[in-house]
Amino acid sequence: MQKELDKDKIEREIQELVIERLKLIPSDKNISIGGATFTRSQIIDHVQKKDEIGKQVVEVELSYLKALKRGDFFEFEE
Amino acid sequence: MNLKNNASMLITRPKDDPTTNYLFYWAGLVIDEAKKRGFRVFDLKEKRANKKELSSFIKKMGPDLLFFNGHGDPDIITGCNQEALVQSNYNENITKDRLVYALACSAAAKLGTRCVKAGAQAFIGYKNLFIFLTEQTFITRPLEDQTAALFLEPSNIVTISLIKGNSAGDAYRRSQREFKRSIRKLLIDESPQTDKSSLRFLIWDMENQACLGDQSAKV
Repeated sequence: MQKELDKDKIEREIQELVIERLKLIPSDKNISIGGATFTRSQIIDHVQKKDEIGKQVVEVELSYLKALKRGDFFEFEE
Repeated sequence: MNLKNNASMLITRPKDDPTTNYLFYWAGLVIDEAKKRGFRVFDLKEKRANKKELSSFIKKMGPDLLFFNGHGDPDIITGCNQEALVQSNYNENITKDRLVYALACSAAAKLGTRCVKAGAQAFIGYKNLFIFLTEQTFITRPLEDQTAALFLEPSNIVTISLIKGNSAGDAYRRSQREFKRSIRKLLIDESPQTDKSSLRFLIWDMENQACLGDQSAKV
């Protein structure tokens, strides 16, 4: 029971984090993803609804944060 | 680089929504390069990007290189009106003996492997969604969109490298290097005007790009 509550809490916090980060995308940009094109606010709606597009965007964001943590992109060879 | 005589490329580029509209124009740059290099180019554009024409052209003309632009999922690459052009367990054998680059979501997840098993020399594509950003002000002028360029230039490098006679493995590595260049450009530029929101998607596309099959295969 406690584990489920913790999991829900973590998921909610991740969702909030992703939404806050998505708000930094300039509003004049479109995002082409999975066969459709979305505005920033449409993408945020998808994340809030936790639908397939929303879940995919969360996965992209988490993958990005992990890459930054690993420091992958500060070690480029030319 | 030595290219075989009469090397040829077949390209599909539907243009029936904002995403394929961008791919359509950016793929045009690859066509220009191919023609410059003496390639015969079979351009299945807009409504011609359909299964019937694709099968017919492959059978009659035997192109060495197939460049698909469109939507996709792990088992399908689509053309105009999202008609399935290549599909797992159906017609992946049309890629036999050819080099393939699929600029389409997720096609390297399963379909790419099936194409290689069916005899494709190599299949370059994406194991997950291909995502890119665009600027609303350039919707009617995709080639002037510098945000889209961050994504579509690294993608174009794949086919341009193959056209220049590089191997599939080299084409993949050159594209990866170009993705990294785009990423680095954004990381290094500290000006407040620089929009870094593309980074997460560039890294995603780069990490999901894959080269399957014979890495040494070339046109």
